[in-house]
Amino acid sequence: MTNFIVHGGTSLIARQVLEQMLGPDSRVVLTGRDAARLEIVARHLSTLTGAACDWLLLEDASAAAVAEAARAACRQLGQVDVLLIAQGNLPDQARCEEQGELVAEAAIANWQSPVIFCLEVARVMEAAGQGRIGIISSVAGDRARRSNFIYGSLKAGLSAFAAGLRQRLRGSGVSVTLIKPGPVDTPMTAGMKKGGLMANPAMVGGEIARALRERRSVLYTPGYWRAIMWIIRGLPEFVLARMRF
Amino acid sequence: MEETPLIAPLNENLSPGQVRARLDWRCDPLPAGIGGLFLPYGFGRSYGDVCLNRDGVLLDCRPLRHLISFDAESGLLTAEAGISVDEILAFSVPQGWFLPVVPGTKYVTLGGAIANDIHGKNHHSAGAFGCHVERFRLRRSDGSEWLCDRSQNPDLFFATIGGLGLTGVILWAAVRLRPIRSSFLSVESIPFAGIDAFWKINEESAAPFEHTVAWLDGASLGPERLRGIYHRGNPADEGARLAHPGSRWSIPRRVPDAFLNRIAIRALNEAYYWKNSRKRKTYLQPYDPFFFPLDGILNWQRLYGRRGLFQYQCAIPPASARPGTAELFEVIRKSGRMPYLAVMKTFGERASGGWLSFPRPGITIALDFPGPETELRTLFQALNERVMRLGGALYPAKDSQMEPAMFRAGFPNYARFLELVDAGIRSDFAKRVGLVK
Repeated sequence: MTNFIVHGGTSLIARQVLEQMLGPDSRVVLTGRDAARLEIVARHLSTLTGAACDWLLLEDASAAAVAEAARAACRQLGQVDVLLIAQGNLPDQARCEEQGELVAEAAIANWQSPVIFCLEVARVMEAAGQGRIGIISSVAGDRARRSNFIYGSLKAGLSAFAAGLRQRLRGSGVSVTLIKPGPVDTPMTAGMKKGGLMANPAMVGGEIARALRERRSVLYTPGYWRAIMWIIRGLPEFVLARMRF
Repeated sequence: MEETPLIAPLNENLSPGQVRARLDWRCDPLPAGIGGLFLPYGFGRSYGDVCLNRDGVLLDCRPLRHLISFDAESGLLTAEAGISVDEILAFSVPQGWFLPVVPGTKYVTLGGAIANDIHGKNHHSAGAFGCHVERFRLRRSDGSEWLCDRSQNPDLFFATIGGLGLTGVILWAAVRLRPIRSSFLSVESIPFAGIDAFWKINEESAAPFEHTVAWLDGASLGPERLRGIYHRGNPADEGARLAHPGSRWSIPRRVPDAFLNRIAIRALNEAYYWKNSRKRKTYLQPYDPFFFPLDGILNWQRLYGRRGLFQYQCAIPPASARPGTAELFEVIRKSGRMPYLAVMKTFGERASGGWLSFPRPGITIALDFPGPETELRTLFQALNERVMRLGGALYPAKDSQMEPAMFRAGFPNYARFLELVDAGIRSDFAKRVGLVK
């Protein structure tokens, strides 16, 4: 594993994964929308690990720009060993319910852009007959809830996409790891209350790195979310409908 | 005197109503509508109120912890100011480099190390942290950014070293690391009895040892004869270069208030003395327990319970160091209050130049007392009076009680410092001693 592409290169979780996977021989291409932040992360990773880190700026979030960035990243690396999809954000549920444009933006950021990027790189990996894909979805996609179901429904879509892609790539040498973190202490969750279930990003990053190495199919991280979501998924709809959380 | 609630202000103890904002990227402006006067904040490990801002906002700078560059030839490390000593060492030690100065805990940020111009066991040989800072970038609340070093914006440079975060947000800093051959130190621990024995060993140790510090049995500050263990060490030439892992032991959140009572204090000191007086004369010790003994148990501060910990740390100039120390011990003895931990160390001549830097030539004494504060007030006031008369000063990072007059006497550069204080920043300490309105 030497060549990495990260879509959503300024993600703190992605940075933690890379900190644990990169070495002096590694090459990385980060993609994102903010050149200054991408440069900060690239310099950090290359200083820390000795890896050659580069970044690609997405002109905009359009389907064409995302696909082109994915192809450009693949061209730059030649061979792609690991693709990590870390692109996403936490939209404001209440405002989304009022404004359709915000829903569209959220759908692009959390579903459209990851899916298009992933399909482009998957094609290259499939042709090469090797590679590992990690897709960061969320436990929020396992069962919708009142407080963030716009986000949850998009993550549910991304999880379904990952499962389908895994079937398509079966036997091709390319693995797909669907990653479902619980709330992690990152800039994305800065507005949320810091409860006991807020996970440490370094720990989550370490678990993701291991799951990619082991080509796991589904990773709940921290692991106890597997049990929590097993229960929550099992709740009958009439019970869940009464719950407000 | 103003009533100040003095709980050890460590993260978890902050009042729940405290407003916080965070700075995630150094390229971003300060959070819009930050809503009041703010204070750059790291781990909040300072014992006093330099890291508190009850009526304003704490600006969490811990997310700023990206590395920027490292020159493996010269040891110059440039990193964002929210990076911790722990994180720096994990990166630098395997490559054969160490921070030139480290405090007693590795859970402090680079920015905090500069803002408090921290010192370590090697102050007599290496000076304070600020001596090794080459440059940094400062963002003021008006949005202006300043690249500061000894020739460019030197006033802001020297005001910010030891400037308690009041001159702006340090975005990143470049610090010169020192080469090491191993991650171990060659250490000697020498039991001593009586203050004269301390002064003798201390004098002999200054030149041959980079690191020196004396631990005193707090209970022996009472009626019995003073005793302690003198630790001195040099970086070892042998041994691997390993970043040492953190501790797995942690103190539970709620500890009965009576835990650190007089009997417990006596027992802990007895155990420490017994353990150390039986060590081999010279031994190899990993850097972690040598420099960061308190980090051996995570959240050790919880041992103090709700009464809190009050450290009294002063510096006494060389001329009055011996009689002054004896006088302070006499005051403590008469008060009947027993410090849980007492530490003495020589400060050398090398100055960082920071306008409000605490380390100054002489002797520094740090005394840890369990609270509550009300029971310590009389003692601290008596000590303050002696320290002022001896021409000494208190360490702002540890202080929660000195009055403006004492601050002005101990930090005569405060007047020109006032001119560079950022109008958008305040801390409880700054307000208390008159550095901000």
